[in-house]
Amino acid sequence: METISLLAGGFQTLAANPVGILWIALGVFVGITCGAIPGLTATMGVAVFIPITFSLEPEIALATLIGVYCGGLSGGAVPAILLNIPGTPSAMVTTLDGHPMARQGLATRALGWALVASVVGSFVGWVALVTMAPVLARLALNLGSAEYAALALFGLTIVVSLSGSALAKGLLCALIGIALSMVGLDPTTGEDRWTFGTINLFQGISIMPALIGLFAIPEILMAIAAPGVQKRLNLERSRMIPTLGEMMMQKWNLLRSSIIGVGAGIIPALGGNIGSILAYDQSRRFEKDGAKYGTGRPGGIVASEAANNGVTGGALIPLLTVGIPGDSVTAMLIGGLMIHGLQPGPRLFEANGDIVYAILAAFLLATIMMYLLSVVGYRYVVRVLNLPRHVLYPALLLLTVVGTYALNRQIFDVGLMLALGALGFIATLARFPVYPIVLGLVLGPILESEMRRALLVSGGEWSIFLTRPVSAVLLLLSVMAIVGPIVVRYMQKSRASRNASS
Amino acid sequence: MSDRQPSSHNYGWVLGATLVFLVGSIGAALFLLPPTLEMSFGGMGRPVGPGTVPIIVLTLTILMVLIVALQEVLYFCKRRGGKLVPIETTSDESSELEASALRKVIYAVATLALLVAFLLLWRNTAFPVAASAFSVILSFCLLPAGWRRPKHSLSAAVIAIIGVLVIWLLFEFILNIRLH
Amino acid sequence: MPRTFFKTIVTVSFAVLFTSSIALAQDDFPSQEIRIIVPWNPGGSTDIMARKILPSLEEQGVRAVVENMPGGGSAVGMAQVASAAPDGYTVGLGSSSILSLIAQGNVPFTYDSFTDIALFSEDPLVLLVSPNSEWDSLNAFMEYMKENPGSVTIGTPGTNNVNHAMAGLTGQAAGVEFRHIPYPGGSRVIAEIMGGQIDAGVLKPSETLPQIEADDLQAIGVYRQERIEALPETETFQEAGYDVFSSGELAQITYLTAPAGLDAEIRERLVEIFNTAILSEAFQEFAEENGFIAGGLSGEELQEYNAGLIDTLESAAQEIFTGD
Repeated sequence: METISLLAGGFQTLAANPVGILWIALGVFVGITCGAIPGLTATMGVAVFIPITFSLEPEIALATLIGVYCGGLSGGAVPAILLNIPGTPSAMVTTLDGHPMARQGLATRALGWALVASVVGSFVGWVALVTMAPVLARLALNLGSAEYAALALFGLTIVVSLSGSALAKGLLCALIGIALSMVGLDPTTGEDRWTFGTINLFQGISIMPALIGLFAIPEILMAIAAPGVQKRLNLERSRMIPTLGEMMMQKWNLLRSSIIGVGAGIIPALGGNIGSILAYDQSRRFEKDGAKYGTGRPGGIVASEAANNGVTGGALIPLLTVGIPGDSVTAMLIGGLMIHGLQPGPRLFEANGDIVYAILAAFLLATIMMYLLSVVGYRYVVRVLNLPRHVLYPALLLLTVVGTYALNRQIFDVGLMLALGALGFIATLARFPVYPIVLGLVLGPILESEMRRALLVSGGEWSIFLTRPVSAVLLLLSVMAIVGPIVVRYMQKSRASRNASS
Repeated sequence: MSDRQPSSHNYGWVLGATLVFLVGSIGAALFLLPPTLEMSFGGMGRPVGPGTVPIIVLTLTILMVLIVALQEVLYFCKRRGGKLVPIETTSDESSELEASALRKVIYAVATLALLVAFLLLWRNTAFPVAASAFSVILSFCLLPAGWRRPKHSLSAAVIAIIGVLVIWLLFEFILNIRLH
Repeated sequence: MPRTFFKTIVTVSFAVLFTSSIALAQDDFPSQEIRIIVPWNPGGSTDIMARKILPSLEEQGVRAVVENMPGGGSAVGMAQVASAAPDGYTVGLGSSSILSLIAQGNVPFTYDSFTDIALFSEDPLVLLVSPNSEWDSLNAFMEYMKENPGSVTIGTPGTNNVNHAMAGLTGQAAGVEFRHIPYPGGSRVIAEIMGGQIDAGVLKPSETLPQIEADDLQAIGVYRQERIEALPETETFQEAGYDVFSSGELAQITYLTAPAGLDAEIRERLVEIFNTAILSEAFQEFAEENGFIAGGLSGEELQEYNAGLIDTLESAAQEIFTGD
């Protein structure tokens, strides 16, 4: 109850500052734009905005940055759905169902689902942040490297369930992804692994050039080659926002995926990408139409988008309660807090409670603005699909190149992106799935580094993975996830052959 | 993830691409094997060293390449033996709308070459110049055949250059990211 | 006659203009924007420090812009600094991270590629444990280490760097083996100590003061000759009777540097400009709030200090880093 009055105080502070509210709206708008343009990401948007917010009051500065982050994560769904190119790494799994829906003429509806899911995810994160932050943060501290490794392994098992009959190809691509992630200086010993002395590879192959190279480039190249006759897509004029009835059918999906996202955000070692991957996987298993995911089911979009926006709230939990960032963007927010004289840490609520509550109030405001801006904007954004090819593709290619360059100001990254683009193109031509490569690239390092760290802590004892309960459970689930689909398919085949012969 | 079977005139290219992919993978794996063997593999207190996982990954990769190759060979034989009739068209892959694989490859190579040329030009001159050249050339190539007339070409070129300027302004001045 | 006269006038005027423009250029340094390359992501501690001095630079009439160039553990950005034109308009924020990389020979440039300007910050390192642990003093911890060789876990952000070296020297001072656990960043180390996953960690005050004040972390020893102001209750290793400086003193530092071959006058000017900013009240206050020591060395002194650090890191690399 005290929380509510403190929050009310926060809202009052905001209400007294109309310019501040405009800044937050600007932040959300910029965020959505950054997320929606392939080549720019939410992280980049926040990084660019940090210096811009220095001169603002602390609560407005932080709120604007959070707005950029929220908007960015939700905007990533736009190109994922329309162009099959994820705008942010966490929107990667949104392409799996988002783009097929767009191809069936349901682009507007798909965007509507993505928006609703993003808003719900963000809201659930907010609720968790406001009500249970300290408890959750301390709980998360009980997780160690063994658990992270097991979780990463569990995330990788999604390749098995999604690959269906093309299992071998999926596994091969996942292995290639893991191999790509090994490039760089070994994080534990500093030993050179496959860099051949190139400084730019010391920190490894980062996810953005890989994501754009493997997803965006092949997609654009294929589209360029498509015959010149451009079918003007009939952009369906029906409702963008799903009806309440339809939303209620997804209620468990929404809730579960948001919670998974929040969880992924709280855990310092994991980030948004993993949240959406895990949520998608779980929805596939538990939703009634889960088996049809990948053909354009709204549930797939919902799972991914709810999770990736849940991460915002989740990542703020450890930041605001114990001063530990939940992901790379909140790590940048630490700097934002410090520059304004706020010390992120356990004493933040005590020392600067009113500012913190204003930030919390602003977070909710940002979520609402995200909805309003998107509802209006998405209708126009869908028209991108009907832009003439000779305008759209050069612009897209240029944006991906410049966006990749802007990451580290290194042309090397762009070259890397193009090389991976060629790889992605060959893979797509050869009918190999590309997403396991990115999955391997993201989860591989976590699996390896956390596993090795767990072994270091235990002094070389492998049993640590089984004696720690959470880790053991996750490993069991992973085994079931790998073995399950294979066993099920075997049973189906033998049943089918028995039926045929009887 | 799609189990769609390629139509017969595309199958050759699909097979070719598969071959390139598999050979490339196994080639890279074998190439990386010697440097990996020189890495340290851990001792008593650390059973997993920097080299352990890479070696496992390389070995599994080689294994998977062989398995996939085997599958492809079996598939190839089934097609030749007539056991599988290649599906000519499906509802979302009618041959009018999907380009032939040959066309895809040609366009892809050309576009990639253009991108590389753009990067080299950018390095040696300024961004607006290189980007404009790139955009104009690419948009000309993408103009529908009926459009390649002076009036339309000119407006396409102008649009391309405006697009470049917008992007340039966005990055240089609004995002404050120097593009040089 | 008139022609020769005319030619002389022209030549002399050009000569005068030329030399005076050089003099003017030097007097007027800086006449353009100075690029301060921060080889880390925005929002990180180094980035914040760079941005904190911008106002003071502005007051001095100096235009500067911060450029983030992350990658390679600061190697990419510093390589850029090393290869920039030595005209004083490109400078960078080096740190003990790049010194470690240079000491191990992992980068294609050496320390001779740089001209040091001024020391920004010195972060003395601290040994931290959880308040819930059984150790409430350095001695208790060191005794425990001696009684349990090879099983105490000490975490550090990163590997083969100053933190790692100090952890290793701690083990040497206790005379036993221990388990070194590297993490991607300081926050993880803090989280793992608080959660009881590891026994101790070697970190800087600036990243741990909030947790120490909230009683979530306990600082039991500081790696310095004297106690530090930010943590007056924490004893030094020397006081407890342990010598951790056998190869030389180490601390995490951040400093401003420029490419080699810098003109001496321009170097002087840069030293002046940045020292004023570092020693300004605003920055000193910022330093105090965040538990680091701002400024101190500059110019040649700094160059020698850093060379000494590299030597210490080199010998630490031999003993501590190899195959650990």
